Amino acid sequence: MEGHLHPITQFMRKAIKVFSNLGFEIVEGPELETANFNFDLLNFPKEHPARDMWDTFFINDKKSPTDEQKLLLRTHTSPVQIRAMAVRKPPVRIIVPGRCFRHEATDASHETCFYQLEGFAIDKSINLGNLMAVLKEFAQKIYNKNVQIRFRPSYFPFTEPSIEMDIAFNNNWQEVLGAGMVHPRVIKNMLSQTKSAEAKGEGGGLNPEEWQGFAFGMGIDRLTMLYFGISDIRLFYSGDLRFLKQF
Amino acid sequence: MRLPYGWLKEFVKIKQKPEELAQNLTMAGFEVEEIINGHQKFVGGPEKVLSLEITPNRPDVLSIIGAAREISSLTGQKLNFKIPKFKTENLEIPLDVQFKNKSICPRYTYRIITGVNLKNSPGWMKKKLTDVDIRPINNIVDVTNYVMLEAGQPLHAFDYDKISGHKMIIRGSKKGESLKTLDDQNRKLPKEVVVISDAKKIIDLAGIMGGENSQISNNTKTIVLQAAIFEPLAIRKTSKNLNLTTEASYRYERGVDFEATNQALDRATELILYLAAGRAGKIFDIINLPPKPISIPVSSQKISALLGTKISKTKISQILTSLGFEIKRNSATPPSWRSDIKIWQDLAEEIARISGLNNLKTKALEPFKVMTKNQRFATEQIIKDILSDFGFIEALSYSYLSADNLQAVGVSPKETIEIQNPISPETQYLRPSIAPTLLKLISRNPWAPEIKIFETGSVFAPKEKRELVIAFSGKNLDIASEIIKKLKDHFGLEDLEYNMAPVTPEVLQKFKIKRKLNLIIINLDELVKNIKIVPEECEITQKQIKFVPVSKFPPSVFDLAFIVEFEKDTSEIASEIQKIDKHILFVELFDEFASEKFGKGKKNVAFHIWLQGWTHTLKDKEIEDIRQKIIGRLKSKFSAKLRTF
Repeated sequence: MEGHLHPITQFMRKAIKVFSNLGFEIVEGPELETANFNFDLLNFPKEHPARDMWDTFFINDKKSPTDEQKLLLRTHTSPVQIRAMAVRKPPVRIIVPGRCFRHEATDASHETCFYQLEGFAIDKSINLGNLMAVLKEFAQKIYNKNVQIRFRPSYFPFTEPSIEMDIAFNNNWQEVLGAGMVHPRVIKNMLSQTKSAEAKGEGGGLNPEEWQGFAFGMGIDRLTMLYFGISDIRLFYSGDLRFLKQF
Repeated sequence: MRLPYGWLKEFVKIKQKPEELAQNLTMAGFEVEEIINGHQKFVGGPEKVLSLEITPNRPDVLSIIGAAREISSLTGQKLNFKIPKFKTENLEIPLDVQFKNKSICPRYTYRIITGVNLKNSPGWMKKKLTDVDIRPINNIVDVTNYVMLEAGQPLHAFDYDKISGHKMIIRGSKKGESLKTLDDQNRKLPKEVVVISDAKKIIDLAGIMGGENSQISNNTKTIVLQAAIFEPLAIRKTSKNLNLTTEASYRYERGVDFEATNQALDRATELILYLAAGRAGKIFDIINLPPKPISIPVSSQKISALLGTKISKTKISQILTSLGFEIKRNSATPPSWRSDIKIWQDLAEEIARISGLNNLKTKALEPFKVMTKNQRFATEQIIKDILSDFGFIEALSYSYLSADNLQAVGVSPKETIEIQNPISPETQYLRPSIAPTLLKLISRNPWAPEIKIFETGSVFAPKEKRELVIAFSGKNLDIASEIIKKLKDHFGLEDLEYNMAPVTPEVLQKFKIKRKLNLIIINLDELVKNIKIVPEECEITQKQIKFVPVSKFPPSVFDLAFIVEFEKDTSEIASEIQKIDKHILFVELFDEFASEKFGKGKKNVAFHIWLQGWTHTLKDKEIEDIRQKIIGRLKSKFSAKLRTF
């Protein structure tokens, strides 16, 4: 009998291939993260409403950690920007596939666990025009070359300027990803987490006047639903063979 | 944030219709989620209210005036601000305002109004408040809310005669203090919450909600009208601590314009005098901690380089000026309402969004060679392909489970990682293995003729690691050794550690699974460490699938086997069956072989047929009808003979 791969696996592979062809390297990170990597190093101010946008599952930690060391389930794959750059020197192009978690009520379009594909590039004189070109190419390669897209300004603590991309499906604009130019504070946090950097007195990370970057993050579950015409996100984690055997 | 179109037009000329305005605002970074009918009625029809999502970095647009400013910048239309006009006098009504901690209250502006008459607000005000989702209460409280929504400055009115000693002290609370707030809740306050107390008691949860003991009532004759700036972090901490969010606290924790207090206070005074009568005292404006002035260097070269499009100095100046920035000698000072502007990249964002993102140039990246191949990821993908070739189906289950699930597989919750704020007890602990979460999924498929399923994912045992679990039904364990052999050969593994066991009857019973199951558990991290052959590129499917929604009714599955000429195309037979009835969900070939016992040149083909009802569970008669149709069609089209056992 025929075997089947999960539709998210199938779509994720397609998405990754677009970026691999552009020279992006695959890097992965832990699902169990610290507040430091998930928020602080990504320029989320402490005690700021911005953190509310990412409803978090916190871990019961008997060790009473500091705020930064508090354990949580990662709310996005963006922490890997810092982790990856702790052991790399620019220029880099990196994509990060992985499972993330949000403390949200479950319904047809929202689940507590989901997959993201993060991507970022750090280089000299990389710009917003490059970012929009890469994202447009992604949309064209995945959906079709006449796909209708638009960019809108948005807000993320770790990018400035920040944007969102919409794709037209059935005459409706659907939000498919967030992106932006990496915030200089995040650039400064790159390469500053390594012990060797500390030892050499290089603490301070990359110089944002010298290195810029762009970053994007897409919700793969959502994109997979749009791609296959799936109406309910909960089907992905239901294990229902009537669903899985269709792909 | 609700923006009534008519109310906006009081402050800026708007030529576009509401739908077009909504589009402009969305493309400027303020997503309009819907346009609803308001309660106000105009000549042309009911008020149109735009419902916007405002990101946390733009608290200045949490007001009609803030939105009007944006619209003015986008359209070039001039803003229309009216200066409030009213008489003030020296009332000789004393109030002593003190601060125990000046940093929690950077600015405190107030005025006393005496001789007020409390009554219901007029219809126009009630309708406008309802349009912005505020419940009308009485004319004075309504004015404070009205001006908060209009100007973005939260206001509060105290009953002067209820303030003991005519003294107001702004301070942090001490442990054990309490206050009954306006919503009739008796709140025990933790320490360091921002409060206002009089000579005897706490009268206000500053910046969040007033106390019942100082609230405006029918007997109120004199009020203290307050427009204050409170420290955002202090308000947020309090709000989180008490689990209490109000329109005022929402604005304070995001940042209120330091320069808005006086104008908002005057506007509210004008409205109160108009609606409730009275005499207004002089304004008292106490500045404790003015914000540090910010000056950001403007470099058109840097901004253009970041955006990837050349933007001239003139255009940059023009855009920033229209947004209220002051440009002096290549430096920009943001207006007081833009607390989000700190670095030159913030200026670049303003230029990008007002110019229109879709008007900027796009440019492809230079070619770049992939630095390193991710061996772990590639290996996991190939393993999935191998298992799929063996006829297995990939599932994904939750990363969390219940204490019962854990105990069912003999694990104590104490040994696992617990979520502090789970959605429910069902999802309280992180899975130490995929086995229990996969068993849960398997139990949802009692009608499947067989189980061949696998999952890869992270587990927390309690250290995070990657695991592969394979589950299969039936008595034949050969498939397990075939899989292990294939994995070893494919990756050149000398050794492959794995755990294989049948699921015990006790465990099956706990998961309500009625068939025999076997599990193979493999530590993926260990496997990847030991590979000697580098994995190849995985498959990228090009299949076109028309998704069929999953019915809420259970399916019915039965088997049919036929004897047919060897040359007949089996996939054609399967396709033909699929077409016979709309209730046929899957036609799965599970057996095909030739044998002399069927006759010369004949083969046996066997299918699992899945039937699915959409409005009800299919009855026996309906199932039998379809079964007969299939038998009949295959006989006539392929001369297939039903094989009976």
